[in-house]
Amino acid sequence: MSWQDYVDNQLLASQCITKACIAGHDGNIWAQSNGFEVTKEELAKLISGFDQQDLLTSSGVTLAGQRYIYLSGTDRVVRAKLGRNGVHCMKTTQAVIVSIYEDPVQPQQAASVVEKLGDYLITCGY
Amino acid sequence: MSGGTMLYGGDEIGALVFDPGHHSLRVGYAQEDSPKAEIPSVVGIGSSAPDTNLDPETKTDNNVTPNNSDGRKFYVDTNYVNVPRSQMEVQTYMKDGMIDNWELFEKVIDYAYANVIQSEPEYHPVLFSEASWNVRNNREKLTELMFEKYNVPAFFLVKNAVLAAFSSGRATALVVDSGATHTSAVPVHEGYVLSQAVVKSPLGGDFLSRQCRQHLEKLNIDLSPVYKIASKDVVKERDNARFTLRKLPENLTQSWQNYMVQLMMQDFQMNVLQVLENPYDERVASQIPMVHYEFPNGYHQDFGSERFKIAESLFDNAMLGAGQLSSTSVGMCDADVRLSLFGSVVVTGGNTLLQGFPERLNRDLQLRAPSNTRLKMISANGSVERRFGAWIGGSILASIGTFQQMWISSQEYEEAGKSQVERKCP
Repeated sequence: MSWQDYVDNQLLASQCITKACIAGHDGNIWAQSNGFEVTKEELAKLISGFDQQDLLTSSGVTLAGQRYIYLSGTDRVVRAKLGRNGVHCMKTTQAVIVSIYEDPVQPQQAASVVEKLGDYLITCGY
Repeated sequence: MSGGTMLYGGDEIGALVFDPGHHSLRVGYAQEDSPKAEIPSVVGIGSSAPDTNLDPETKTDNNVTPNNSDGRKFYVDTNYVNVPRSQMEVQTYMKDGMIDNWELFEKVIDYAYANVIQSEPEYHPVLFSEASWNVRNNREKLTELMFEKYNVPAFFLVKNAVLAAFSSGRATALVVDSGATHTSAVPVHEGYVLSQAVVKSPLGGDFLSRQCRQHLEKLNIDLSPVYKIASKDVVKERDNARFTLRKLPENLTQSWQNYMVQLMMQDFQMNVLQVLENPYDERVASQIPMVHYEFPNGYHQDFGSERFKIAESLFDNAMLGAGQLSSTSVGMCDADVRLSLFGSVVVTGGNTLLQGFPERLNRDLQLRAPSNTRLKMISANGSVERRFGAWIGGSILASIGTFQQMWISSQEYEEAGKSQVERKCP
């Protein structure tokens, strides 16, 4: 399965995620969904935010030019929201999965989908 | 997924809402406007030695939960804990806002199901509130306990700040919760706690009770709680009390006696203490009319400026004062949300019923907020809404239609294990 397949057939196909992207820890984009113009700098900043939450708390999470308000997170997961859209990101061994979901999808649904894929990637070594 | 094998029939959801706190555990049915029971968060632990005191309750009552293999008896709820019993220790199961002693907590839940709910746990979905700083271990443990021991059909955990905000009809608010052991400022945005900006201090109702006790002991007032008094005489103000001691069992433990005195202090605190709208000033305080209070042993006197001095300790601390907590918390949030947080400050928690608390908090926040911010405080008028704010929010949440798909069902728990709670209950 190619990385693009993971984005299209696993994340987007669940009907819970509207946009998604998988990238490496350095910010290099491995795959992204159509129309999701997230940049390498935004991803790099997000990734450093996993370990240092303070970077994200005051300035929020910026993806594809849109700034989301940081809600909570651990060293594995980052959650953010803006109005009716939300962000759920998960960090795996070598990659990070970024997903955007919109109303009426509940954060828990997006979380389940993203984290299931993330856990699977971790078992594969990615 | 959820609702598969459950009997969800429109309005008949039958969910239970549990709100554990340091002062009490509130338990009741969803869709109701107040909890069915408020069980004090302490458990009396009796030793295995037979009671020398022959009060009829211990013989016939089957409410004392069954003995452990080591013969200890557990006494739950006011009717059983507040009775003088020899060698009964009193212990709380809460610590730092979270459940700490799981053995005692299980006894209380057993009691709740047997005496308050009076129904089998497997028929009712359960919604639990938790501290906004609850740790992963505790959440998983609670999930495991509810599914494995009580076989609940569905379960969910919500932070109590979010529930307090819901009970005031808001999804975004700065929740200032002053309870028995803590005062905390928790910003909630769109129903989610901004956990990086949670600020708490250990100054709460129990702290004030201790201050009251110290003050009264300094004044050499005899603090004999009700259980010691057999009869008392009417005395003139500030005269020594004249009362006869009741015949009590021997070996009353220190922990139990302290607990009873603490209850008495809580009554004193509720009736006498007040906080000024402006920082404590001796002249202003002495001009306000005194309040008269009578102790259980018959001693009575007027209390004046000390009422304000004691209560002031909640606000005047440079770092831990309630106003300071709130402004620090907002300061740690994203700049975009700060305005909306100042625009809805929800005041909740039993300790906020202290006379003058909301007004003083308003003034302190106004001073610390940026100059042109519109500050709006929401504090429920009734004491029930303030004390049970989180429980009422839980009752509201568990009854909404859109929430029904969000429960963690027992099936999901079996498939994904207890870590499902981390995913489903943000």
